Amino acid sequence: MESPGAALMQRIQAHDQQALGMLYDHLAPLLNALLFRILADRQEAEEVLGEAFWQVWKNATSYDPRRGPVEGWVIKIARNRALDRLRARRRREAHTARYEEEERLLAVGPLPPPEEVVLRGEQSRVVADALEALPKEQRLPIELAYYEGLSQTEIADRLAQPLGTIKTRVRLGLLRLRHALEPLLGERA
Amino acid sequence: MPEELQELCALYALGLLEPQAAADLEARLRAGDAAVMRELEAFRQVVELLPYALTPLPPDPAVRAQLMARVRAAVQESHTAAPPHRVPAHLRQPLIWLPTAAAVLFAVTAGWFAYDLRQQVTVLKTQVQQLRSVAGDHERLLTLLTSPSVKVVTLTGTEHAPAAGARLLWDTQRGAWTVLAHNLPALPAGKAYQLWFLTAGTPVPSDTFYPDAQRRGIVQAQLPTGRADIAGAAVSIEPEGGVSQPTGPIVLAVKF
Repeated sequence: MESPGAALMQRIQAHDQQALGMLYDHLAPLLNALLFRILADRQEAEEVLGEAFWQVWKNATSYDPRRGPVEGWVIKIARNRALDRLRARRRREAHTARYEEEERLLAVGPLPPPEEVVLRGEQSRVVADALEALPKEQRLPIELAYYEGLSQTEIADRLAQPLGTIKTRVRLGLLRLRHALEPLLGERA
Repeated sequence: MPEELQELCALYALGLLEPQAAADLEARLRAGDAAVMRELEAFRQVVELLPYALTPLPPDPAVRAQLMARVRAAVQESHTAAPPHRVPAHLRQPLIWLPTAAAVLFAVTAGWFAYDLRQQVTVLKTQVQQLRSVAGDHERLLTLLTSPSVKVVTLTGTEHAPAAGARLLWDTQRGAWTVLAHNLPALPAGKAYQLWFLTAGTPVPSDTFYPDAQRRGIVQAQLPTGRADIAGAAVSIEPEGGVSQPTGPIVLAVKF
């Protein structure tokens, strides 16, 4: 099944501004949540959001549908930009947060104001349930890699576990997710 | 599939594989290893779904308005710069299509005017915000230029960008750099400019940035803490998001 963004992306590649607005409306709440999760700063998240969609507009022709759905491409652009900012921020600031605090953040995530909470769709619920069902030791390395952009060595240091253990946990965690998300993977193929 | 290979695929999909191991896996892909392709594709899809676990967070409507205003401005600019449009030959045939086109145009235009007026108000509001932002940037730049604690250093273009140049404003009090680059070459798709602090050892990475329509770029960076051996600055072309070690051509450089 074609992803909802595919037709919009074809129009964006033909310089259709309205299509860009529609793609923004389709993805902005999800991306903003992701960027806020990474940066923990509302203003910075929205700055990166605007920059990411500007990049989508400028580089629309570089999107290759053979490499996955549009949504994944846009998510990747936004996440890379956010991680770029996060790394720059880390270079500026001493990273003093204790592991317990990070674990709490990872477990709960930054909560948006109640009035901005939008009902999750079925897809979101399935993914959230799958993640929550993962054993914590498998979920943490995956989240540290995805939301903080840490390397495998940094994750091993952060979690005080041998590198080999981290690699195994990542594999097992992604395999469990793959099994739990199988119906969605079929939809996106 | 062997567990070891499956592990490599999982780590690759999550961006955790070391460069050499990643290159080895990519070589298998290029060689058409169908099992690796299937495994990677499945893990890639899983990773792409991760953010869907988050509760959607609608952004401030101003973000959308600013984006669309920026796009409109860029389109208008490109239209202004475009050469005169030549009417295609098939449209220069006897104008049998004209009455239909005129009727359609009239109907569309009436509805469009109402919509467009509302859009213009939004655009104008956004432009005011942008102008305020630009004025603020100029004021900050002027303050920086007239500050006694600011040193000015010139970066010159290398053989990869001989026409390019930049001024580095070094605020010695705040330990911050502002680099104003000009005549930057257009970037290939998927690339960005990245600033580097040159040291006695390996360069220290800083932020990435993009040139504007006038091929100018600005990047601000805080000097890395605890490094007293900053010996120069450089700008290179790197993958978007930046890298930890320079991999692309250096376009601007200076040694202090």
